[in-house]
Amino acid sequence: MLYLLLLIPLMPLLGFIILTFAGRRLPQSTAGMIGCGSVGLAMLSAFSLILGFFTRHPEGHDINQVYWTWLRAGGFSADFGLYLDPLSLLMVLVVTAIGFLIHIYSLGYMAEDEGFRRFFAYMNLFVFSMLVLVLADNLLLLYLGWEGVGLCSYLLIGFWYQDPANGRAARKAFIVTRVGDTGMAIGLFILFYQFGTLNIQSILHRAPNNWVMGSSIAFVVAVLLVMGAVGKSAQLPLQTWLPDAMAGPTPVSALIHAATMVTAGVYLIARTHPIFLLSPAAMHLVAVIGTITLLLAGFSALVQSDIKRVLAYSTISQIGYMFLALGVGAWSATMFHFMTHAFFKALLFLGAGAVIHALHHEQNLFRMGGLKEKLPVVYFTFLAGAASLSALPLISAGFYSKDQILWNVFSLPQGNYLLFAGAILGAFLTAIYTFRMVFLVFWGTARTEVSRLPGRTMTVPLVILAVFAIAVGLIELPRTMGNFSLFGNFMQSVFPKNAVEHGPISPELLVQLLSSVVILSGLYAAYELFVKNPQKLAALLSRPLIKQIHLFWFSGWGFDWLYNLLFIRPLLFFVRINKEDAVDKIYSGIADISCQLNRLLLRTQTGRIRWYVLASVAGAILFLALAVSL
Amino acid sequence: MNTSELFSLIPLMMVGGGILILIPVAAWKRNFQLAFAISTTTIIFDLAFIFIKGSCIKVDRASMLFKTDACALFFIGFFAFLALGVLLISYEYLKNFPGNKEEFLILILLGTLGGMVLAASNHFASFFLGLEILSVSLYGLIAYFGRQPHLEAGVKYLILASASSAFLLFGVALNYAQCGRLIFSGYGLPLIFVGLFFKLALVPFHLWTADVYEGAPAPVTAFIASISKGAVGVFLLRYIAQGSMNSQLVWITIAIVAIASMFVGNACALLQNNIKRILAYSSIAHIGYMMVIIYLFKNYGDVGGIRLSSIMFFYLIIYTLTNLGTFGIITAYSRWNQEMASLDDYRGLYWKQPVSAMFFTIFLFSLAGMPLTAGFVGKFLIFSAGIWSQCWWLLLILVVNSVVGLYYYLRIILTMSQEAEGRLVPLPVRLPVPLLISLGLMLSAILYLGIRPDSLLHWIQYFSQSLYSR
Repeated sequence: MLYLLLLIPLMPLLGFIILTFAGRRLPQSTAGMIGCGSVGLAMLSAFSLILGFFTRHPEGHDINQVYWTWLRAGGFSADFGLYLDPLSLLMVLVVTAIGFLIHIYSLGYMAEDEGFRRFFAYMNLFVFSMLVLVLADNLLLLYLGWEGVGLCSYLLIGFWYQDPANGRAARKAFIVTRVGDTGMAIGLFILFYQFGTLNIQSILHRAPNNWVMGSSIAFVVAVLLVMGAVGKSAQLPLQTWLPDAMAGPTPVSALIHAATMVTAGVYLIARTHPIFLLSPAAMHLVAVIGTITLLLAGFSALVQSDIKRVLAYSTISQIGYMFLALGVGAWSATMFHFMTHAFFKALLFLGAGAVIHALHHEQNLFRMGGLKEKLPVVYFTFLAGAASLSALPLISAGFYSKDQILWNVFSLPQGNYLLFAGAILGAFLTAIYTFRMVFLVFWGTARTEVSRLPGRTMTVPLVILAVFAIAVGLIELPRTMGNFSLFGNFMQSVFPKNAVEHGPISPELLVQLLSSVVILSGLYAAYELFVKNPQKLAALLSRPLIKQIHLFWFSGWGFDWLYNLLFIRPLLFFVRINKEDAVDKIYSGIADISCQLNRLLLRTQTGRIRWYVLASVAGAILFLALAVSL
Repeated sequence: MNTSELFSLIPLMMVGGGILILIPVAAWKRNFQLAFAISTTTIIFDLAFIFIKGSCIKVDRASMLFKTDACALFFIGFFAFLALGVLLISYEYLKNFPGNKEEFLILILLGTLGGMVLAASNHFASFFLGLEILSVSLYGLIAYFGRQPHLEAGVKYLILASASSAFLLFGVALNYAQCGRLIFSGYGLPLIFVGLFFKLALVPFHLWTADVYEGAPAPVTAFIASISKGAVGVFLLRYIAQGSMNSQLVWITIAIVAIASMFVGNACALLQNNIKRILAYSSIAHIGYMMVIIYLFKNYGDVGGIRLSSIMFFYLIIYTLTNLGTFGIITAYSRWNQEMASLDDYRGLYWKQPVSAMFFTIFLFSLAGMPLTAGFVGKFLIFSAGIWSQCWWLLLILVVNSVVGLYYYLRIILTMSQEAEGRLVPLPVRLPVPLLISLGLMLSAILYLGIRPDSLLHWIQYFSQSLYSR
């Protein structure tokens, strides 16, 4: 059982190593088998852990396993240890299961690509890093995973590196997340400095005793951690990299930039929630960031023309919901929405990938259409994903998870009406842009010919994910309809209980009705604007003010422009005028001295024996002189 | 000498026995494959004996001359392992030599035996014998193929090593004059240091290193850099642990030598264009780092000594392993009549032979002390020992030197990744199997120890205690 835990991250690592070193010699089918098989085995180990998890640890529900110690110096010790509790188990299950399906899908999607083996090597490395990140029992290992997924994200965004634009997108993603990582690293240093240990659990256990409620140190650490989370999860103000990250192959967008990596920030905050509980101000900050982000991204998603960018903005927006939920202390609801989101967003990306694949790399929504008949499997599965994303009442998983967030924001003391209104407005936007996409791609008249149909490796994962995107919500039903709480019970050992369970049922029903009405009216609005009366939309868009807003939203609220003006230009300016500053002098000084020393000392290398003997004798005389004088 | 004492000397005697079998084989019926098989089998049996029966050896002292404590046994086994590595890398190198090949193997085994004797010696007589067995085989090995650079290097080494041995003998004589015995003590120390520092190539006795490394055949350089340096290093530690080193002089001498070696080694390596010379200078710097550990012994008694000894041993082990690996790569592209040691020869290796370029990069990373290789752990341990002893000024010098050292390792890696226009000598299309085995062993050891150093450190801490049991 304990070694099974180690096996989970180890299998993808092994796959990565084999594919890196022997990839070129393996036939494509074997390489694909290794790539998928390693993640599949990790998934099987993860699933077999569930059983043992419940039977062997009825109390406490967690396993902490230290495999070896890497370094030890004084009180500092860096271990290789894994920690499994319901939170990390959930993450592991989602990462390996969705990862496996996406790997299978990629077999078909990447079949004709030259870099097939490289692709699977990177993907395996990503899965390994992500698993290390969620299973790490100490900050150092967590950071290793954190940077590892960042690296893989960089490698995979720039996977088609021959196009300089892709390289630029990769660099942008790497550098922007680096801004957040810097803050997070400082936060981790403070944690280590304060507690003298790297072990996450002992830090979290000691935090409430060492720090008083609302103390400034807790606030500072929490904000620094939020910085890291905001960068990784593409939230305001570091959200700009994610839409550009769509330059990578679509399975990458599905796995890394929708289902798993971008939720690492959510995981980080959920994992360190005891620190956030000590700082209500930081939690409020998280909620505000989430709300603003979900609205901004929702508006931007409305007007995008690239199908993947719509999905990218919707990812930002959905993670905004998770941040909002974290900020009001709805921990379990956050993780529930994380899980449903992972399923339906992976599904939507893979569906979009199938469309792009079929239309020969056409990504523009306005050049698609009428695919309902030609790609029926893709259509129906995409519809399932869209229903879940827009949280169609009762029939989709997204409804149950989003409803839980809305209700928590409404009822928990940390939530307020402003946040709630934002969340409701976000739900309305989500319904519009989701069905705008569905109508433009699958309805109407065909504008591009279908050049190839998706094979079985691509459709089977779609169907499986579609089933999950509809049904996975049933493991947690609200009090108004069944009050069934499998997920919440599973999570309860990790998170403190929140107080919503008690009290009258009617407000909850009211919130559900309200959100249902809003979502259905969003759906109707999309139908009205994109199917029934497209000319109305065209008339609307021809007005200059609306046109300006459209352009503004299209460019993601002008953040790129703003950052270019505020940071990049001034930085480049300073770099130019400060190319040779005093600090450099120290290093170039060392280099100069070394070179001088080199020139000087090489004169001693004459190659003549008599000179060499002389040097030895001189040394001996020096030693003897020292001996005599002391 | 009773049976159990005799039993404890079997690891040494097995190597000697192997040599005794090889000599008549070479005289009677020359067959390179057979001789190679005999020599590798000898080494493997020796390793197996130590591995399986090593725990049965209960006597600490086989005779007046030898100690067979855990430390000696470990290093006998370790040198056998290194000798196996050297033998495996030299197979392809030797294969097409038209002259007699078998004696080369005999000399390798003989030199290894010398190193083993050094590691086990407990007396100046056995020490000197071991040292001379090692040196004399090296004279033969360096000049073995008889080409001009080989002969030049051989003669240089012969003359300079003999001169240093003379100093050393004089020191031993002084020791005898004072004690009336040849057991280790602090008398005659400056002169004994001259001899040892020459073998370790410390400033100012380092001048031979670059010339000999460059002139010697690549597998012989590998031998010098691993077994020869390693054996003298082990002996030095044993001598320091046993001898009374309370005079202030010793520490000042060691500090001067350590600092000078670090600076000279790194500075000289910077702009070299010959990889063997770069590695020669880098070895001077590395031994300088090890002398920093020796200097830290100053403030500590036995308890601190055990800790410092284990750090020194760890560094020595990973350093010799890495060196064997790097010279193994050079050997892969060299033959007895053609050395590929110029930096330019390696231009574009990444594009033509990615696997060996990868190996080389990892070995160089380990020498430079990059994390996840064993070299990093070695450096880390030195730093932690320095911080523990609060020896800040020496640490500062160490840090500066590590940074400077990074330059020339990265320079080699950079050269390998540059575009080549048909520069690479079109030697082997694929690396020979024995060489790959050897390189694979070294590489896996370095990576494993970089990730799990505790597995080896645990052992070293155990046998370091035996150094101090008087």
